[in-house]
Amino acid sequence: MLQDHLLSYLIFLPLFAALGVAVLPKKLHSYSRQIALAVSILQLILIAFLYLNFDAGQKDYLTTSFQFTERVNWITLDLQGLGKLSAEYFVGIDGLNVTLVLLSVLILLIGVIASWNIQDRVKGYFSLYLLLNASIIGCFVALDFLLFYLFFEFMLLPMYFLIGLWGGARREYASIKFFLYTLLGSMLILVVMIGLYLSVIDPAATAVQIGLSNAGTPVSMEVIAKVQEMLKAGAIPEAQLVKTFNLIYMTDTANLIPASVMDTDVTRLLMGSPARLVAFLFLFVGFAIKVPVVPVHTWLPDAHVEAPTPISVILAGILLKIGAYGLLRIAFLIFPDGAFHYSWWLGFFGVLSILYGALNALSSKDLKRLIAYSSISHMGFVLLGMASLTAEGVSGAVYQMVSHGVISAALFLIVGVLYDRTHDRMIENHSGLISKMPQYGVVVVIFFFASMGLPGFSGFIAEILVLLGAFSASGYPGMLPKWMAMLATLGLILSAAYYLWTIQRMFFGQFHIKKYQGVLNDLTSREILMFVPLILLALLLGIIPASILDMINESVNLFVVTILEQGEQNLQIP
Amino acid sequence: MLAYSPLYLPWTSVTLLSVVILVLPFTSFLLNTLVTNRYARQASIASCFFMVLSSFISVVILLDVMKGVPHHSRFIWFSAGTIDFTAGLLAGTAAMLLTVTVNVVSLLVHLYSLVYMRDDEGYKRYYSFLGLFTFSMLGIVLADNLLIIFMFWELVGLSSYLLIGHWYTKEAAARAARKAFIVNRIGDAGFIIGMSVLWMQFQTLDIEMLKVAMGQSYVNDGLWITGLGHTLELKWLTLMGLGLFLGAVGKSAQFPLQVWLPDAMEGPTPVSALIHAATMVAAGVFFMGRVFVLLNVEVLSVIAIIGSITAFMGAVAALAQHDIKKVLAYSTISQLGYMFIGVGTGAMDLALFHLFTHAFFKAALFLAAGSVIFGLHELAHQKKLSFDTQDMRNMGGLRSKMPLTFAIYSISTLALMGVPMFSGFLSKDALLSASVGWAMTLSESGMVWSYIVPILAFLTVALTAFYMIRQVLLVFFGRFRAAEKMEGIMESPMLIKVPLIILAVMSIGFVWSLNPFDYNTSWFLDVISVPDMVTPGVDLAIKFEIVKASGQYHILVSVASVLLVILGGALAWYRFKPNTSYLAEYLSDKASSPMSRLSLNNWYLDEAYQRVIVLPVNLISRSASRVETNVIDRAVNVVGIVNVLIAYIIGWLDRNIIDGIINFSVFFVDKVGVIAKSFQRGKIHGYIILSVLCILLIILLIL
Repeated sequence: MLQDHLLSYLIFLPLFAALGVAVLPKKLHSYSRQIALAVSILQLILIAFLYLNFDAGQKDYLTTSFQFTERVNWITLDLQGLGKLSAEYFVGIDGLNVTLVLLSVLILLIGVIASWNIQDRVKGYFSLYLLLNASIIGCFVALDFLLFYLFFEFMLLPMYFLIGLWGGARREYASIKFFLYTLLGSMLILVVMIGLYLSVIDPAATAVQIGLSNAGTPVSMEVIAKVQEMLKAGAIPEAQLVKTFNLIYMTDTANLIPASVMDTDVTRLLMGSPARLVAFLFLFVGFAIKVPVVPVHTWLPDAHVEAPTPISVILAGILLKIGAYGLLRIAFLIFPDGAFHYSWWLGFFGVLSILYGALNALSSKDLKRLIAYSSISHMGFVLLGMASLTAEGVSGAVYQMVSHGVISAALFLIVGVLYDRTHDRMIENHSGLISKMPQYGVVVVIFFFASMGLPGFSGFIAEILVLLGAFSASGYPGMLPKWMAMLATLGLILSAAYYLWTIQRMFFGQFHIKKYQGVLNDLTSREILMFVPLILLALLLGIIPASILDMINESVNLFVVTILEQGEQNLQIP
Repeated sequence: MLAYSPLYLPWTSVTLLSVVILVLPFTSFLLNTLVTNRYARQASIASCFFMVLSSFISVVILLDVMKGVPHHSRFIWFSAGTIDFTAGLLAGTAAMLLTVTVNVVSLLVHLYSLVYMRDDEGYKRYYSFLGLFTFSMLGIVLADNLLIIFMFWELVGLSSYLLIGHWYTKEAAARAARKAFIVNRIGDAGFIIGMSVLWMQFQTLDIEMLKVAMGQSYVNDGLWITGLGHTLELKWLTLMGLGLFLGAVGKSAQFPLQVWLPDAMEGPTPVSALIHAATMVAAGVFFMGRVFVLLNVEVLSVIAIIGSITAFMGAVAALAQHDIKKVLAYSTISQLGYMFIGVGTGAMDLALFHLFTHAFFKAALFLAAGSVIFGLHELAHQKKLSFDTQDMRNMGGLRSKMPLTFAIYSISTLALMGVPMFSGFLSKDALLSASVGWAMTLSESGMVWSYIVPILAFLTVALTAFYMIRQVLLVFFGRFRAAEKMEGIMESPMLIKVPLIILAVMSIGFVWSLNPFDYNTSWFLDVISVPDMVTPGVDLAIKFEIVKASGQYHILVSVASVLLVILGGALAWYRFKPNTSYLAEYLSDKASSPMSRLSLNNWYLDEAYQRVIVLPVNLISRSASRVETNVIDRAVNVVGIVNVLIAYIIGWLDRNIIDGIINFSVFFVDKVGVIAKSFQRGKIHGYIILSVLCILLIILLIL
C-alpha cells in the first residue's frame, strides 16, 4: 500500500501542507515552521522505507528497472488529424534518481532547521518553501516529460519569491536575473519537448487505438514490437497515432514516427545540423543554465549572494542537481547520438567550468561568492564525468551530485553562521576567527577540506572516479582527449589554494574583526544539529562508497551501454 | 570481468595484527580529540602507551615477515560500474621495517613532547594530530593499492598541514602550512595522472596486480599494449612514471618542489623531527620503491638527475642559514636527494638503506636541536629575555651546559657527514658507489651526461661536512652570545634525554653492519633486495653491469668521500672556530656575499615562483573575475536592458499607435454613425450593426 503510492505521498504531502500553511489564520502563523518540519520528518520516514526497499538489480546483468512507479492518465486529447495527445502522471525511480531523491529530502529537512529563525512573513515563507519541496521531488521522480516540465517550471516561482522577498540588498536584480536565465533555458527545453511530442508515439496506447490490443489489459511485448514495425512501415494512419510525453518511450528510437522532426535521419538538417543534434544542444543549453555551466552561470553567484541562507542551501544542494539530472535523464538518454557526438564539447565545458569557477573563487572577496564559484567548479566535474561516457565517469558524476549536495549545503550554512553574527561576509574583514569560535573553526576546516576532495570525504571518491573515467574515455577515438582530464587535475590544486588561503586569512592569525563590536558566540545547538549529520554523511560516503554505488551501478552500466551503442548507431547514415 | 584473480585474499593473523597497528594511533587521534581539556594530560600519556603497543606489535610482525614471506590480504572495497576497486594490506619486509621505524620514532616523539609541549595551549590538539599523522603514515606504508596509498598520502599532507599550523595565530606558521599543502597538491596532481594512466591501461590499481599486468604488456611499433588490449603511445609509459615521481617530488621535497620544507620548520620541533625529517618526507622514496618495478629507464634517469640536483641545491642552501632548524631542513632535502639518486641509479635497496639510517640520525639531530631550543626558551622565560631561540647567532658555547645534547648532536652530525664507523657512512658510501657505477655503465653507451650525478653527489659530501661542522661550532663552541652569562641554561629533563640516546645509538655503524666500513656486510641489505623491473623495454642485464661497476670502485669511492668530508670539515673549522675574524664578521652580518645570499635565500626559488607562478595565477584569476563582470555579466545585462527597452517601445506603440488607431476608429465609427444617422433617421439597430461591422473591418485590416 505504502509502496504503491510512496512517491505521490512524497510529492503531495508538502503540496497540501503548502496550501494548508497558506490559509493558516493569523494567530497560528508561527506554527508554519512546525508544519514544515513535520512534513520533512514524515518525508524522511518515507525515504527510509524507500531506501530499504529499493532493489538495485543484479550485479553485472543490466537488470534494472523503474520502481515505486505510479502511472495514471492525466491529459488525453483527441486532436483529430494530429493524432491523440497523451500525458501521464508517471513517476518512478531507478538508480539514476534514487540517490537524488534521498539527498533532496535530507537537505530540505536541514533547510527547515536553517529557516527556524525566519521572523519576517513566516507564513508566506514556509508556504513557498513547501511548494518548492513538492516541485523538487516531483522533478526528480517524473517520468513524463510534460510532468517533469511542469515541476521544473513550478520550481521557479517559489525560488523567485524566496530570493526576491527574503533576500539581501540586491535581491531584485538577483531574482530577475535568475528568472530570466532560467526562463531562457525553459524555452529551449520547451521547443524540444514539443518536437519530441510530435515525433514519439506510445506504442501500447496506439496498439489499443488500432485494435491490436484491448483497453485495460497489459499490452504484450510482441504487440508493441508489431506496432513499432507497422509504424516504421508507415502502416498506421496519422489519426490513429497516440503521441506521448513518456520519457521512457522517448528513449526508444523504434517509437519515432518516420519522417518526423526528431527521427534518426541524420540527413534532415535544422539550422545546418541534423535535427536531433540541434535538439540535443537545445536541451544541453537549457539544462546547462541550471547546472550551471560556464558561460551561462552568472545568475548563480548573484542568486547565492542575495538569497537567504536556507535558500542558498537548497539552491546549491539540490537545484543545481536538477540541471545535471535533466542532462542524464532527458538529454543523454533521449539523444544518445548527441551525447556521443558532442562528448568533446561537453567535456570541454566541464573542464572550463572547473577551472574558470576555481579561478573566480580565488579572486572572490566575499566568502559566499567564493563558495558559489567553488560550486560551479565542482559541478564541472559532474559534466566532465558524464561526458566521459564511461561507467567510472558517470558513477563519479552521480556521486559528485550527492557529495556536492551534502558539502555545498554545509558550506552555505557556514557562511550563514558568520553572517548571522557579524552581518558581513567580506573575507578581508575577518581574521583569527578560530580563536573565538573553535567549534565553528573545526566545522569550517572539515568542510573546506571535504570540498577540496580530501580522501575520507565523499568529494574524493567522486572526483577520482570522474578523473579515472575521463582518462579512460580517451581510449575511444574521438572522445575526450587526455589533456582535458589532466587540466581538470589543476582544479584540485586551485581548490586547495582558494580554500586554504581563506582559512589562513579568516580563521588563522590574530583575532580581529572590522566593523563589528558585538559578542561572537560559538555554534548554537541548533547549528550543531545541522552540521553533524552532514559531517557524518560526508564521511560515510567517503569511506563506504558502496553505500551509493551499489544503488546506482546497474543503472549506470545500462546508461553507458545504451548511450554508446545507440549513439553510434543513430549517427550512421542509413 | 577482468583477468585478475582472485580479488579476495583472506585475512591472516599477521594482516589482522597490522590492522591493529593502524587502529592504535587512530584511537589515539580520536581519544585526544574527544576528551575534554581537563584530561588532556591523561589522554596524551595513554597515547604514549598506544604507541608502545603499536611498536611492539610491529616488531613482532617484522620478525615474522623477515623470514621472507610477505602477508597480503585484500577485499573488494566497492564497485563502480562493472569494475571492482580493491583495498588491502601488504606486510612485506621493507614495509614492516618502515612500520617499526615510524612507530618507534613516533613513540619517542610522543614521549619527548610530554615535556617539550607541556605548557602549550594546543597540547590536546597536538597529540590528536600526532595520532592522525602516525595513522596516515602507517597507512601509506601498509596499503597494497595505489588509490589507498594516495588516500593516506593526502591524509599525511593534512596532518602535516595541521601540525605546521599548530601555532596558527602566527602569520608565518599559517602561511607555511598553506604553502606545504598546496605544493604537495601539485605533486599529488602528478600522482593522479600517473595513477590514471595505469588505470586506463590495466583497469586496476592494486600494485601486485599491476606488476603482473605490466609484465604482460609489451611494446610494439612505438605503442604500449596491455594484456587487456588497451593501447597507448609509448610516451605515456614514461609520463606515467614521471607522474608518480612528481607525487614523490612533492612529498619528499625534491627540486623543483622543495620550497615548502624549510618553511615547515614553523611547526613544533618534535613534529619537524617526526614528519619533516624521519618519516613523511621519506614516504616519497618508499613509494618509489613500491612502484619501482613499473618505471622505465627514462624515468629512472630523470629521478637520478633530479636527486643529484636536489642534493646539491639543498646542501648549498644549508651553508649560510642562521636558523638551527633551517640548516637541518635543507640538509634533509639534500639527503633525500641522495636517496633519489639511489632510486634513479637502480639501487632501490640502497636508497631504502639511506632512508632508514637517515631517519634515525636526522630525528636525533632535530630532537637535539629541540633540546637546545627548549633550554634557551627556559632561559629566556626565566630571565625575561627576548631573543630568537632558534638563531644560531644567539647561541655558542652550549657544550659545557648541555653535555649530553652536545654528545648526541656530535654523533648524529658525524653520521650525517658520512664519517666511517657511523651509520651514514655505510649508506651514503653505498649510494655514491652506485652513482659511480651507474655513470660508468651509461657513459659506455655514450651517455656521458650521466657523470653529472656522481659529480654533484661528491660535491655534496664536502658541502655537508662544511655546514654541519659550522653548525656545531656556532651552537656548541665559543662564547654564549644571547646573554652575558650562561646561568640558567640546563640540560633537558629525562623524557627528552632518553629518546635522544636511543636515536643516537641507532646512528652507530655497528648497529647496521658488523663491519662498519663495508655496506656489503649490512644485515639490512640481506633482507631487502631490489625487485626486478617488469616494465616493457627494460634491459635487466644493465643492472648487473651497474652493480659490478659499483663494486669495482667501492674502495676508491670510500676514500674519496672521506677526503671530501675532511676537506669540507676543515674549511668550516678554519672559518668558524672560536674567535676567528670571519666568525666575528659573520655575527655582525658583514660576511654577506652574493654566494651566501644565494644560499640564505635558497637559490631565490621562492622569489622565482612568486614571479613565475603565484603572480600569473593571481593575474589570471583576477582577469577571470574581470571577464565575469565586464564581459559575461555585461552581456547578460545588455540583453536584459535591450529587453526592457523593447518592452518600453512596445508599450509606447501600444499607447500611441495602437490605442491611436482604436481611438481613431472609434472616432471614425462615430462620424460614420453621424453620417449614417443622417440618412437612417434614428433606426437604432441599423446603426449598431453598422458600427460593429466597421470595427470588425478595421480590426481585420490591422491584423
